This record gives sequence, C-alpha cells and structure tokens, in this order.
Amino acid sequence: MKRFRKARILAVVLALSMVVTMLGGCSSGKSDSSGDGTVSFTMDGLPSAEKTEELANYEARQKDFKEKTGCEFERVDFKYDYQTVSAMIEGGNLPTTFTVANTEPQVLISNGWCRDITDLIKETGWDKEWKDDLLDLVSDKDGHIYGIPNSTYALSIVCNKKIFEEAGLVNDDGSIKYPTTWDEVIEDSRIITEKTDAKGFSFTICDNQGGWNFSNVAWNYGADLCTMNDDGSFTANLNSPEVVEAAKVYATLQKEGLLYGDFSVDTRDACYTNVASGLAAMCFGATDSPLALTRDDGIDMPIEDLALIPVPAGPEGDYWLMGGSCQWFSPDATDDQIKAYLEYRKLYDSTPDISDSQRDALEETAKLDTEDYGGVYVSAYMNIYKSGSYYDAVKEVVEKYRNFDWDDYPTFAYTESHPGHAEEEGMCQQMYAFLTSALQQVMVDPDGDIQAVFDKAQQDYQAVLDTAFDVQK
Amino acid sequence: MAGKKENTVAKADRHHKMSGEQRKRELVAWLLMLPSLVCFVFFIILPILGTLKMSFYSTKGMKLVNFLGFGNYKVVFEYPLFWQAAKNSVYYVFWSLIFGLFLPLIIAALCAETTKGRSFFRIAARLPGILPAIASLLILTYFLRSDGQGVLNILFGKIGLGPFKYLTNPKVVIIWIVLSMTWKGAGGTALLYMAALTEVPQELYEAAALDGASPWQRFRYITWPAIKGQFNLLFILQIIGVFQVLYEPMVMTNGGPNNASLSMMLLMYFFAFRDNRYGVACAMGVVISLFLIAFSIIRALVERRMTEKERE
Repeated sequence: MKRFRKARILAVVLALSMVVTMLGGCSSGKSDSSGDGTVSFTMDGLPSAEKTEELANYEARQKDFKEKTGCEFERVDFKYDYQTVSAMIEGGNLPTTFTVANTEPQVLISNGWCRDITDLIKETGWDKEWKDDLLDLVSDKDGHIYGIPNSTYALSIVCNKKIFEEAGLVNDDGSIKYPTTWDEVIEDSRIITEKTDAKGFSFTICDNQGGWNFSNVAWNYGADLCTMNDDGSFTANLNSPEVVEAAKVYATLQKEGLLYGDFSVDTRDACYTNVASGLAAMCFGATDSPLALTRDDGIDMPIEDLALIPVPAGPEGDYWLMGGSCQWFSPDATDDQIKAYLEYRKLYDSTPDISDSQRDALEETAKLDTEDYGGVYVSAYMNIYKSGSYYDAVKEVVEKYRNFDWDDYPTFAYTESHPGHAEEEGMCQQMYAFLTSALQQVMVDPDGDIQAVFDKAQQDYQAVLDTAFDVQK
Repeated sequence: MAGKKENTVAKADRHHKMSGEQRKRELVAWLLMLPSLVCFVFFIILPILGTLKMSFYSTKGMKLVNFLGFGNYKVVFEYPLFWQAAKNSVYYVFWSLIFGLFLPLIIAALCAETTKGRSFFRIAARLPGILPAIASLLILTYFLRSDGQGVLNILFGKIGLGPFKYLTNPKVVIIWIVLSMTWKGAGGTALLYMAALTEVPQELYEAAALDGASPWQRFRYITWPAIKGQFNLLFILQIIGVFQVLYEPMVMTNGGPNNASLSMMLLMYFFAFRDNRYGVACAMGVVISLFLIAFSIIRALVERRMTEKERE
C-alpha cells in the first residue's frame, strides 16, 4: 500500500513536471547580450560546412569584430522566405537582422513585422545619401525608417553566347548580335532552334515569378497594369491591348516550339541550368545572376559563355524592372543590437562613404567569388547612393577582379541610360498570381483567345481589389 | 426502527467515505491525464477557437485589429477562385474514390488470392509509402514533365509517341495528381484491408476454389463481407482526407495550370502565407470544416438508412 502511494505521488510529480516543461517551451528565451554583458546579435548567411574559405573568412571577421567593438555577432542558417517568415516573426525566431528582397519591405511594414530604426539611422545620416526611391521603399508613409538598402539590380536576360555564335547570330565586327526587341527575340529563337540543338528561350511560369517577369514585358508594350484612384481604391488594367500584345510574344514562342523546358515546373534556377547547359539560349535573370551562374560550387557556367543583356524593348517602352535587397530587423531587436549591427556595417558592409576595413571586406568578397570559387564579381555594381565614396570603391574592386568582358554585360550600361520601373501599386503579389495563371493558360493553349484569358484575369483581379477596398472601408 | 436508521446512516457514511476515496482516485487520474489534457487544449481546442475568432477580424500580421462580422467570409465567397477551388476539391475526391479506394481493394484481394510470395507483394505495395512525401512527389513531377525531359515522355519517345502533356493539361492534371497520391498511399490502405482479411481462414478460399467458385464469387462472398466495415470507414476517411489535399498540388503544380489543380486547402494556404490575409484564411478554414461536417452528416445518414434497410 505504501509502495503504491509512493508510485502514485511519483507519477503525479512526473506529470506535473511534464506540464511545467511544456509551458517552459513557450518562451523564446532570447537575450541581446551574453552573460558578461557583451552585446551580441545574429544575422543570416551562415556559410555551409563545405565552403571552407567562406567559413574561415567568417570566423576571422567574428574575431576582428569582437576586438574592434567589444560586440559579438553570429551568422545563422536562415534564408528569408515570404511563405514562412510570418510564422517565424510571430514566434520570435528570426535572427536580429537579415536580408529581404525589395518586393517585401512594404508588405512587412503593412503587417507590423518591422522595427523602427529611424532615430538610429538619422544619427548616421545615411538616409540622406540613399537614392529617394530606395528610402521610400524602406519607409512608411509617415517617414519612419525600418530597413537599410543593400543593393539594387535590374531584371535582364541571361544568354548563352556559344549558342548565339553557333546559330550565326554575329555582327560584322565579330560581336554577338543580341536581340534588342521582343520581335528580335522571336526571330533569333527561330534561327537558334533551326540551326542548333538548343531552343530559343526558357520560361518559368510556375509561380508568381512568371507574372513578375511578364510585367516588364507588358510595360515595354505600353501597359499600365494598375493605378491608384483618389479615394484609395485601385483600378486594374490587365486586359488592355498592350498586355494582350505582350502575351502574344509568349504564345508565339510556345506555338512555334521555340521554348525549352516545362514552364509549369521549371523554377528560375532550372531556367539558369537550361541556359548554362546549352539547352536554351535565353532566360530571364538579373544583374545579380552572374555570380550564381558561374561559381563553381553553383551552376558553374563557363564565364566566357555567359552574357547579360537588357530586357528587350517593346513598341512603347524600354523599361527595366528594378529589384534589389535591403537589410531588415527583427521586431524584437534591441537598440543596442541594432547599434552593434550598424558598427558591423561601418566595418564590413555598404555605407555611403567607405572605410579601409570596408574596402578590405569588399576585396575579400571579390577574391572569394572570383579566385576561390571561379565566379564573376559584379553583383554590387549598381549604385544605391546619391554620392559618397563607396560606389567608386566598388567600381575599382570590380575592375581589379574582373574576369569577364563588359561587352558581354550590356545591361549595366543600359540601366544608366534607360528608365527603371518600380513594381505596380495595388495588391502586387495577387496581380502576379493572376498574370501567372493567365500566362499558363496562354501557354497551354497558345492558339486560344488571349483577349478572353486576360479579360478573365482583369475581372478576377479587379474583384479582389474591390472586395479588399470594401472590407477595409 | 432505530436500528434501521442506524443502518441507513452507516450506509450513507460508508458511501460518503467511498466518495472521498473515489474522489481522491479521480483526482490522481486527472493529474495523470494533465499533460495530455494540456496538449489537447493547447494544440486542438485553442487553435480551433482562435481560428474561429480570427475569422471575424481584420488582421495586421497575425494580430487582430477590427471586428468585421462576416466580412472575411464575404471575401472568401466573392473570391473569384473560390468556386473553382471547391469544384476542383470535389474532383480530387471523386478521382481519389475511383483510384484511391478501389486500387487498394484490388491489391488486398489479389494478395488474398496469392498463395506464394504474398509477403513480397505486401511489402512491395507498401514501399512507395515509405519514401518521404515531398521527395517522392518531386520525383513524380520529373516523371510527368511535359517536355522531352519527362521520364514518361522519354519512354513514349522510344516507341515514337508523344510528347504528351500531363501536369500542363488542365483537363487531366487532377487525375495525374490523384494517381501520384494513389501510388504513394494505396499500399498503406491495402494493408488495412489485408489486416481485416487475416481473420478469414485460408481454408475458406481453398474450399471455395475446390467447389468451383470463380475469383469474383470468392471476392463477393468471402473477401467483401470481411472488409466491408473497413471499406465504409476508409470511404469517409478518404473523402475527408482528400478534400483537404494541400501539398500534392502545391509541390507538383502550385495549383496550375491556370488554377486547374487549385484545391480549397491550397487556396487557404495562399490567403495565409502568400497574401498574409490571416483573417480570410481562417474564414476559409471554417468554410472547409463546414463542408466536411456536411459530408460526414450525409454519410452518417446514408449509412443509418442502409443499416435499417438491411435489418428490414
């Protein structure tokens, strides 16, 4: 009996301790300092174990940072994904600071998933040096700042030079004859398909990226996809004749068998692989694509085969879609952690004016990308500042480590002489989703009624915009 | 009289004592159940109540902002793709009943008929289910590519046919997804039938065969009665499970082409994690639950009527 009672008490104690342990698991247990009061923060971008050079570089930087500032940082295995970030933010599981694409800041701000860093940034004066559109991108309508612009890029077309040469698409002076309009893309694709084993183009239309890419084509045909009205409502314009004409480019390429791959399955990286392996001559990319395409631990495309050209013009425009990335902060980040990160940035990352250690850091990255990993260092080439010495230093480092021919990368010069185009207003991701669906239908039935397909997309997207506006009111 | 009273008091006292003892025992039982109860409340009850509450609010991130009444439900029902997703979900259920319910039945019946190598067939049928779900779906997606790289198209190409469209053909995309689900899940379902069939003595089959019963007669009069109960259970579980199909279309087609494989659960996922409209996503979740409750009630009513008829 006594033994039974003991067992009963033990069981109850165990059960209660289980409950307490479970409840204990609910706390995030985060702290902004180690036990000795040292300020520490976490950031994304932990190099994988097999990248020994990057790991060594990271560890040396950790040590150097501690020596220079007395603070600590640690990189964690985190990559921003819009589909999982909400749960991570609400669960308090984000690193202190991380990189997000320029499509995200306004979404994050509207959802309250942000940290106001206005005062801390104003102290540095950097906000006065950021280009106005980038400052707007990381600010709300009241002027509060939540992020730091890292880079910009231009949507472009990745080309396999070898295929163009094989197809005889070469100018009299021996340079490659790249397409400059969408009509030329179709014509070149016909020649490539006829004269080589490759196809002309490789599309990804498996997710919103399909609609995102297409918006640039549509702008160049004169489309204005969505406008904001005075009362705050939006008017969609997805079925204009310009949009339909742009979609006919896709239909023609599909109908004539000029495309390689499965548009509904292939992601952007699959398209890169199709081009790199000589199966397709062109695909959508951006000015930051060359590194991913050429690094020997990535797709490993031979540098001499790669070209990056501007998004071809249409009859009504020659825009390039502006993308990029910025630095974001966990809503839980403390002032001390953000200050420590700003110190990190002054030492190793991008600020309007460059210090010696930042120049060293730039060189370290360029050396890693080019000499250690056999890639191309050009991603940081587009300027995000109105003035300052940082951009000049980037240009110098790019030139120092340049292992490519600028003639193969005409997109960079093009962005300086042609207008960039920011994303459309309204519910952008929804718009891309409807455009993607419409494009999928065009690809499934390229001989079908394209106008009717986009009429349906227009009707659906407008209905979504109207309902959202009604409910908001 | 006094003795009787004393007896009653003693009984009541004993009863009182028993109740105290019982209460103590019950308390211990409740304390032992506490971890499970906390889990149940934390992981089942609170999310259900939270979902229901959130479905009536506008949200900022996952925080509730304003009470909207049925505003989110209006958004759901007026969403242009809602009825298409509902129709697609019914198609998923229909085709999964055709393939997913009967194929395991056939596998189980064939295994019951097999005298040699039965264990091999049992394990072989179960093998696809052992593979991690996402990995196997990605592999199948590459089998079903519509260009020259798809394994099926490569095989058809060897005999001069194709290439055919599988996941890019809106008319058949759901069928191919259901076939992929069936390939993965049929073995597991067949095991349940086989478990029921273990209670049927092998001699029955042998005796029936000696008496000249055809395979169909053996199935009709021996196998079917043994697995009828399992079949009824799996029928409703199949409807409920497949109506909530999510990751198969998400991995294989992302709901395309042109929303031809968009399911209600995938639409709910898009509301939540693509558009960050958690209130709308919760309203969608409640609507899906109502659909499933309606299914379950109809099925229960049909079964009751069938049982009554059998009794008559």
